[in-house]
Amino acid sequence: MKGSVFNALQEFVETNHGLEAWDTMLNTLDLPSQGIYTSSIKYDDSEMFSIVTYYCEALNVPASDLLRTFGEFLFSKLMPMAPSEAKKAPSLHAFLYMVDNLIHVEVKKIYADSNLPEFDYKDQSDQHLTMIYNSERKLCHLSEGLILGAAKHFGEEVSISQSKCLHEGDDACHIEVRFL
Amino acid sequence: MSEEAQNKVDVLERALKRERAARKLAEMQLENYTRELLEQEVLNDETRMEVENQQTQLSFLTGLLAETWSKPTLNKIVENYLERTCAFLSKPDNLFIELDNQCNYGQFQYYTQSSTESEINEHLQLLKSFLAQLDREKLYDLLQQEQETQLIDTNEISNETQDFYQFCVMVPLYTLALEDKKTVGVAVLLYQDQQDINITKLQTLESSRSMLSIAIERKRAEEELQQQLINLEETNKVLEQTQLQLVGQEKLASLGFLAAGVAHEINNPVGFVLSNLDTMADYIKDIKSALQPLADEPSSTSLPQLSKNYEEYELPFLFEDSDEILKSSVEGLERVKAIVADLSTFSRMENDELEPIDVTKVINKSLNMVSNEFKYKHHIETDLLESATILGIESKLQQVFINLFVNAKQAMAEGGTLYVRCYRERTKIMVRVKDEGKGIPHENIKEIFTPFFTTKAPGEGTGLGLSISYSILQQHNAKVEVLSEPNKGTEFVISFFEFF
Ligand code: HEM
Repeated sequence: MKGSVFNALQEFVETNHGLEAWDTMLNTLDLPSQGIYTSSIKYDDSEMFSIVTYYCEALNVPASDLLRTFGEFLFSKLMPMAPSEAKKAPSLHAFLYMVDNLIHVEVKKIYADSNLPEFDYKDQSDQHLTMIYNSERKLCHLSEGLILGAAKHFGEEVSISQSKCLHEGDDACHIEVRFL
Repeated sequence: MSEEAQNKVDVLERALKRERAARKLAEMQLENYTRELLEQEVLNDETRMEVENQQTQLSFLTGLLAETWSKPTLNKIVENYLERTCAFLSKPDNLFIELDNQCNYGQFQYYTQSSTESEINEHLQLLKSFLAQLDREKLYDLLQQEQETQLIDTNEISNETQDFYQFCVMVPLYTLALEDKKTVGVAVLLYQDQQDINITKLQTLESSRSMLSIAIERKRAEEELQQQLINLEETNKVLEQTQLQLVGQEKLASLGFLAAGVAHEINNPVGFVLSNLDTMADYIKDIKSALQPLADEPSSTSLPQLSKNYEEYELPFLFEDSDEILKSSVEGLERVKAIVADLSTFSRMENDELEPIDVTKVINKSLNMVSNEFKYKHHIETDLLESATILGIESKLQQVFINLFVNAKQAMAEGGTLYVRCYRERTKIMVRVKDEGKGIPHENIKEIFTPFFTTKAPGEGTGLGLSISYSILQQHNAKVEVLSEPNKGTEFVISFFEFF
């Protein structure tokens, strides 16, 4: 996972729980990177999971909630990097459709070593969209948060649920997005 | 400072250290990216140059190829090659030299390129002086040793020290071996400076060589073929002319033969008529003298003298002999008249219209013409029809018979009899001309009507006689058959259609 995601996570922790919370975590975990994250460099995925697990225990929250909240925050950090066509998207629906078809495609071009999820789209209508998520990192809850962040950005209201989930033993996560 | 405060400072210090380290990493990363970018750019440039290079090489090769095949002559191919090579290699002055194994120049061409005329002239001058100082034996030897493009010091192939052209690249273009003569064609690219030599381009040049050699060899063969064709055409023309001349000579020969025969035929009677007239002049003189008394004195007294003279001058004999003389003179002149009449037939030679003619008459006339030839050792026996009419041309048919008769006589060098027979066989008029000569060898029979076939010694006959006769007989729709037995004789059997 790219350093930029760790940078965002650090900012997320520091704004919500103070500088010490991040420092204590690093002192406790003794990660291979020593907590020195540079946005364009790739770090081991396990560091991300170690940090997430650490905070879940420390704060006593389920990982899904933590990732969802972080996703919402992460979106505001990622959005400025998005291609201008995505920024000018006419609706949330149109934007979500661009994630797999344009945004991540462009990311892959800039960072060839990036690890990105795969999204398929199903049941597209004015009220509803199913985003089928697939990734070995199983970060479906991060996706939910990202989508919520996007909804906030476009000033739209949505409800999100998963009809299928990798964590439930399904072969993909079906993220059901309802446009209210 | 409180412990809490100290703690906060420590946290901040650690955070700062991490930030610094992260920035260092970011800066290094940036440097790496920049360097990578630069390297990529250099690489891009190199690739672009490589591509450009390959493109010019390719266009040189394809251009050379296309133009080489379209050039009409070897000279033009070479000229094009020098020009293209000079443009492609940008610098050198080019020379083309063809040498044979005696180290003689077959040919040479110069090529130089410049924007100013004065420089071109200057370089052409330099090329010429280089060529003049060239050590041909050395060059030839080098070409024998190495068949591929080679780079050498110009001094190696020069009799004098070269201070303008330092290096030369020799590109052997072709080798031709004709019998004991060997010819090599080589392009010599002359450089003032080793810096100007581009090895990659020279390699391209080398790879164009095999294709060029093929093209040149082809063109050579083509030119050779063309030359052979021209030679053949010339030979053919000469042959045609000779043939025309020979046909003319044959005509002249038969005319000459005719003239000789005619001269003889006419000379004979004219000769004896002349001598007759001489004798007659003597006789008249004698008669005059015998009758002289009649002029001198009156007839009453002259009579005895006249009587005496009558006996003395043998007047009775003179009168009798005069009759004889006059009679034979008239006969002689009549013969001359007949010959002249025959000749007039020949003057109508070119009349091609077939008309009813009498074969018997033609045979007789022809025999008349040649009778002189048969006078001494030869006999002629004839068995002819009273008259036999066919469609034909009298003068031409006469030529045929004369030809057959003369041949027959020539075949019987030791003498013999010529048999001429003419008879009817159903609708045909058959003429058989037979001799008792040496005969025609079996293998020659089918050749005798072929133009120019002759067994006679050179100068004696052209070998056209029988072939002309044959074509005349064909014109008469006549068939000819030859029967011959060595040492027994030859018989020509000719069949005409009778005309009713
Ligand atoms: C609703 C919108 C989006 C969704 C649902 C989404 C989803 C995700 C998820 C789930 C990941 C984690 C990797 C994984 O699961 O395998 C990810 C990574 C990433 N996404 Fe998005 N994304 C969204 C929008 C964006 C935007 C706008 C950008 C901006 C260019 C972006 C750039 C990235 C980058 C750089 C990564 C990290 C790749 C790595 O670490 O190698 N995403 N995204």
